Amino acid sequence: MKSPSTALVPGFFEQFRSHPDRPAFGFSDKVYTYGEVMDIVQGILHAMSNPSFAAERIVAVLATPDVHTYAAILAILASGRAYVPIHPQQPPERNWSCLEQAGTHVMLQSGAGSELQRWLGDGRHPIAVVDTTTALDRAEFHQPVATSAKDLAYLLFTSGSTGTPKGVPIYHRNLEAFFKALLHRDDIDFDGNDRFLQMFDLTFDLSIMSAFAPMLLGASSYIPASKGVGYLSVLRALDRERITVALMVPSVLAFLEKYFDEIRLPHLRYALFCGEALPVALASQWAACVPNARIFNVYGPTEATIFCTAYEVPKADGALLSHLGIVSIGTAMDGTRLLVVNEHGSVANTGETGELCLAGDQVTDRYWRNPEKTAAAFTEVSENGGRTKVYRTGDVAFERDGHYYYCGRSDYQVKIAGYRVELGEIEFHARKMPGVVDAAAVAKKDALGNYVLRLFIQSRESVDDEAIAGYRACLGKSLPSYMVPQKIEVLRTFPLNQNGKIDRKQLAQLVGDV
Amino acid sequence: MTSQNLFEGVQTVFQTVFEDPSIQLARNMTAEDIEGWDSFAHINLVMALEVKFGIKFRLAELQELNCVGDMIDMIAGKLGVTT
Repeated sequence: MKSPSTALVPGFFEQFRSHPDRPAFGFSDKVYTYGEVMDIVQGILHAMSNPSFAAERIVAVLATPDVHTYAAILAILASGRAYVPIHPQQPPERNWSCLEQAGTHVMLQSGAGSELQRWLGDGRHPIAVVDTTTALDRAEFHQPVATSAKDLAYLLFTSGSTGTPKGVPIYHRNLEAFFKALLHRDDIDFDGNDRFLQMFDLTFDLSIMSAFAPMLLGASSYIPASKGVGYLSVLRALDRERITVALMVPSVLAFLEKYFDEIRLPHLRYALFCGEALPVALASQWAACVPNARIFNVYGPTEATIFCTAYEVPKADGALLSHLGIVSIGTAMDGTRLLVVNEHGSVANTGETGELCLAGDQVTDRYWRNPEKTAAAFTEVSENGGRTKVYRTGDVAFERDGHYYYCGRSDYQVKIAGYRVELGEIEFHARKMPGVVDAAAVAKKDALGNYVLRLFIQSRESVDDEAIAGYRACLGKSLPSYMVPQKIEVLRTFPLNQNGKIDRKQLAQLVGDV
Repeated sequence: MTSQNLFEGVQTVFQTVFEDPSIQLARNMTAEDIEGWDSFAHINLVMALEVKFGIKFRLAELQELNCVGDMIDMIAGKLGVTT
């Protein structure tokens, strides 16, 4: 079989020519074929041929979940430009920061309501807003503009430690490398009949895999209804749309865990998890819900384009590779190299923990217009007498027998009374306690600068003071006393951030002063 | 239990879960109408209703709940209350 194209825009145009009547994007109220999507893309391309766009290399798109937004992204890329997604629900201050840093003066929108005028109204940066639903002139068929590998494809903003969002530029060479590493894998057989789930905000790069990998295959992407209760909509879409490929965050499983015995998704062929650590217990229980699916744990920061490692969870429990109850992140995908760097700046030995560093075709080489952050994160590592350019992820990991294991963020490691404490180890033991669905340990400095430990437990049962004392006693049997959190708090659910991951910053705020 | 008691009980649970004593329920209210009613608040809400009324929801039932009225009718059905 011919390998799928790995260049998004040429691949989409090729699939349109071959299969114009195939479904491309499905929403709760309507499914759009490749032909219908191309029709919208052409209208937007015509609007962008206006001379007022000539100087714009980056175009913003208001990321509302409708077909015009997806078509706008394809049109921006087809015009040879890069896109920067703007989240309609994020604070105006953050959105302005993204627009100003990107230096864009045009934003495409299709589903904005009054909220757009509310935050756009102060006019601190000139932005022309184009309503793509009125871009109807399709007199001429616009062919895609050729791009080079070093051209920018998209610019995503992640949270910066200073409070200012940090721009991550991803170039066509990075994006093509990702699609090649994924779609040309020998052990993956996605095809034109697959139906992908797209559950992510378009400001989160996992959305690019879920929405646009199908466009290279002649397959389709289904976007759950944004109204109502989010994860129930995801489950409804998995079932009703007979999804065959689903990329999700593990928090979805924590949400559904109580109902696993009612869930059967025989259509699902691939279940991929990314974005946060995948607990072994959840992955194993989920396997029974998806009897025909292969389950993969994938890993990667935005800076390395969507994800860059993969591990297939074996059907047999005993063969599963894990560390402290967390599934291995596996091995590097083609084109990516992983290096664990120890505290001396050298490549770590097998089994030795250190900071996970990434090199290769998927890895970008900078933060957007931010030399200071770039210098801190994009560095060189000594290796075999030479120097290798790497991106420092800030994640702690180790390698054993060729497989890599995620141990948490580097700030999950703290020193208490001179002992090195891995917060992940506390969480591992906490998750094994009865009634505990998930656990998150937080270390906070007191007035004297010493770390104090707090543990948050997600429980589906009522927990009284006696039970909490029991939890502390239970942890004391598995952990040295300096690792037993002084205080345990029980939450019915953990706060999540915009991307559906456990919001540890919010948990730290719940701790207050210690 | 009367249907009025049931309605008021559900309203109290909403006020507690969303930490907003001013919430006044209407049968046609949905997740769009109450700030903070997201996936995880929904779990809290469902569990609080289960504890309050001594009932259990199945996943299939949760998926059929589109508004507050559906929720009240389902609880009423489990408790044998005529609404």
